[in-house]
Amino acid sequence: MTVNELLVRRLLADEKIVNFEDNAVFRNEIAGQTGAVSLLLGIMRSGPERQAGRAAEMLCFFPLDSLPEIAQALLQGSTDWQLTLLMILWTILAPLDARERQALFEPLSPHLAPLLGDRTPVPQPATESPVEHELDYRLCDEAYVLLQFLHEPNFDEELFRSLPDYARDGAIRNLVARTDLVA
Amino acid sequence: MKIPIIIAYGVEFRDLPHRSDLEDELNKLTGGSGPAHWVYKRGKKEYDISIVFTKTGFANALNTEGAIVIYDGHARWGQGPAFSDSAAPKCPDPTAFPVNPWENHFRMGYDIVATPCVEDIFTHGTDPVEYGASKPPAFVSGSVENVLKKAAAGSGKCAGKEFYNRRKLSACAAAPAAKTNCRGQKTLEKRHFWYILNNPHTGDPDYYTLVKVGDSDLSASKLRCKVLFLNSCSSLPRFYAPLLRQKKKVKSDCVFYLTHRTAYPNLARATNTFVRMVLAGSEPTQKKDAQKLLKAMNAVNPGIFKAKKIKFATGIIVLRW
Repeated sequence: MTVNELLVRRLLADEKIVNFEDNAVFRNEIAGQTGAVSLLLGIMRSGPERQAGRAAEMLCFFPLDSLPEIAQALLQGSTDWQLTLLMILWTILAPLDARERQALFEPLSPHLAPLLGDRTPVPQPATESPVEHELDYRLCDEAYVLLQFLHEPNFDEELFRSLPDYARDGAIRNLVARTDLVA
Repeated sequence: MKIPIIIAYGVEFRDLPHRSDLEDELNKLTGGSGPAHWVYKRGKKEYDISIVFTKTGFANALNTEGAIVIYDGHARWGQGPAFSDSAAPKCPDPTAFPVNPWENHFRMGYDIVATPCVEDIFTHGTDPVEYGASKPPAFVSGSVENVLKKAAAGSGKCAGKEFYNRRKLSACAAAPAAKTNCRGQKTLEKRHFWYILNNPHTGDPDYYTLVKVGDSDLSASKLRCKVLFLNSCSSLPRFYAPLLRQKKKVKSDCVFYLTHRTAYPNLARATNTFVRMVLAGSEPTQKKDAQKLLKAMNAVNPGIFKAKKIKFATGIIVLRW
């Protein structure tokens, strides 16, 4: 069944819906329907700001089989776009156990691997927010950590995040060599 | 039987808008008016919700049988949750704050941690005890172990090929080392640093030193709570290993919700989401409900798009049994 665009926009506009997963219309008529991911990605790209944010939020509640289509869009935009998609992927992946994540390495890695060569720094929040600055990631580092999260059940990001760039580059090369990724 | 929900707000976070948002929500839900305590009945369950602002309050929460405990505050680079019983500025005046809340820690970390001299020690007017490099600490994170190992081969020079190298701050960065902080102290004068990272806000270098922390407060805890959600920056890499060690020691069943990386701004609403969903019936110790909680808390905050200046935030919450 192809998703009904008007229905999607109605739900996005309804700010009383705080958790899309609790909404029966979302669960039965939007999540996982044909065309839903690309519709939401389109709204994220060109919709009004608030609606774009709600579209990104809605995608976080999509089922696992939507992941490859979301990941495929990684190479279709700016660094900010890529980072937002990575956040969506993380949200869907975070609750999974190690076995479930490992099963997703193969379908997702072809879309993540091209980012392993991108050394663009991740922009930091520019506000006076009470954030403790602790790491300076590049896009390749973000992709590496997500790939490891899928691939290695016991991967601990703690050491990687403390390394200087040249050492992280070495870790990334290591992963590519071990897993035959095409970076 | 009442289910205690105890939210401990740390220094600075206690005065952010999301706390008063939660209080408003609780007032509407319970018909109460707080402050700091509400009772909510839902079916056969009754929740006893309270807010605390002190180290003692947090310690007591952890020892409350069956409690759902949330810490909403700074991790202080692994030095531990820090508390203030009133609104405190970034660098508190010593007259108004004889005990600096920014170093009023619930100790629950590794033996030593790395922290930046300028962004932390100078900015907050603290004076943590420096690791003296004479005795290798027993319990450290992988990153600190790496620092110690690599620095052992370092030359001690300010500029050199070695990324990790133990040097006196005054010898390599005289200006920041000589500064007097808001509490009238020069706490960087005699300090050493081990590596340099640029502050991504300012672009300026910051000098990471190693300070003694330990887990003296955690090791006195029985962890009788059933859930501990540490909603602070990078609570997973900083506190999970010490928590797991204590959990095993006291045979606790407490489950831990912990964060990767930065907790603010996109996780600012995580505490409120968590409390709201628990009061709506989610059981945070059950796998299916835990998955829903994680998704709801991690979902991209549309407010990030709204502000335009905030482009990306990387906080993600995970669950550790």
